[in-house]
Amino acid sequence: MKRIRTEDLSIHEYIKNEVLKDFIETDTAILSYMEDISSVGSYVYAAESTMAPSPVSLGRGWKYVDNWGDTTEQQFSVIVYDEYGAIISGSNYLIDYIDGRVICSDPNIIPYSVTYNWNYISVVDEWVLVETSEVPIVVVDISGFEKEGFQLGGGKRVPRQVTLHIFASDTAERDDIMETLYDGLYNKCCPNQLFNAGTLLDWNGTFNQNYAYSIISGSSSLRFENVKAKSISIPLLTIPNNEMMMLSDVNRYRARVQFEVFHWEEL
Amino acid sequence: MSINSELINLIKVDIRDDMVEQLMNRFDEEIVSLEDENDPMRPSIFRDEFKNFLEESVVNSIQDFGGDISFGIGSEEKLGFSEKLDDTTTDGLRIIGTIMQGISGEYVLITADLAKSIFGSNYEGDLGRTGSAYLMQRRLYDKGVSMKNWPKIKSWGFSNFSGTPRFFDNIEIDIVKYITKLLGAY
Repeated sequence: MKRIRTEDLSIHEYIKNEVLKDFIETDTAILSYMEDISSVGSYVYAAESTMAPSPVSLGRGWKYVDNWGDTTEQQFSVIVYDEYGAIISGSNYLIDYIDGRVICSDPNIIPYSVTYNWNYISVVDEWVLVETSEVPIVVVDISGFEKEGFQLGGGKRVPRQVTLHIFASDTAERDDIMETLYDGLYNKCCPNQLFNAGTLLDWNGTFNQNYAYSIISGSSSLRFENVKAKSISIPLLTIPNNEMMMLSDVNRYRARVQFEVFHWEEL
Repeated sequence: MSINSELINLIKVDIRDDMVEQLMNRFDEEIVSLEDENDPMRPSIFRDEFKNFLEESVVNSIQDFGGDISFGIGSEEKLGFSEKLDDTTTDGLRIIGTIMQGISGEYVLITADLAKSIFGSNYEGDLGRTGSAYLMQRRLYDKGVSMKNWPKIKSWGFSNFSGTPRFFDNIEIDIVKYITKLLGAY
């Protein structure tokens, strides 16, 4: 992976699992068998959640680590029960954390319900994805960079500009998210991870058992500076002579957090 | 003439022109280059208006605190960024302000003329916060097309645009050049 990609992933992980850790919700849902996508040796059960926004909408998903920085799969964030309310051991199933599903290989083990922690705020990395998710949403947008020497000899300072676009459902929520993000970045840093064995989740939403925490050799951590936060309004949006239009508009309660992230490289 | 007055004159002309030139270059590169040339409200139509606005904002922002002089460029109230919208602002500045902030979703730009054509020529109702132009969600406008025979028009060209949130950031002023020029007058 290119460095900008690993930085993007490092920042994304930090924001989703550490900065926004107070925005975790818990839900208990009945699991329903999905015959159409099950096969012999792979019995898929989906959680039927009534929560809004949907825990499995884009950029959300179930929590796959108990705490940020953990390198192993969660032990306490997702608990699966059988029909008698007894806990089913985690060794009997896989979890698809993106789609909210439990996958068993043994037909005799039948999961009935699940209690899980999920990310209330959707964190996505593309502006166009806002429309396909549900508020609240944070878009992580990493833009330009300009590498510069920082000492005599080799080495350089690599700064990049990042904008977090916040879309919320009301002013209180918007301000809450904005301040949480600001506090999580101001005078803070996060590891510049290598992801040499992939990210924490595999492409199919299950935990990547090969994941290994490692940082980029010869590189400092990712440090945040020049953090600025501001609520914003959209001048061409209408005001309440048609309240339904306003209330349903994703752009109604917005804010932005801008900052620069930089690190030093030896080479 | 005092050095303070000389400095203010320098800000009003040389520094102002320097800042405005940088921002107009950004305007052309980051906004005009993306416009739909068939859009009757495309940003380039408001280019001169925007330039004049920037120039005036520099002059209007100058404050002399005796020893210190402060100045800025742009206006959140006129571009519509802040909660309070300046009553004297224009459609052009509001359109440019909206492009800078970015907007998620697909919209139709309702101008005063379009509003009268779809709501009736005697329509004098509230056209929205902006007074004479505003954005309507595409799906709502399409309902009007199918149920009330509103004219079919294209979506606003800057729909689903992430904006230019750093438009006013990092304006470079060659202070040494201006101080040298200022001192050269003495």
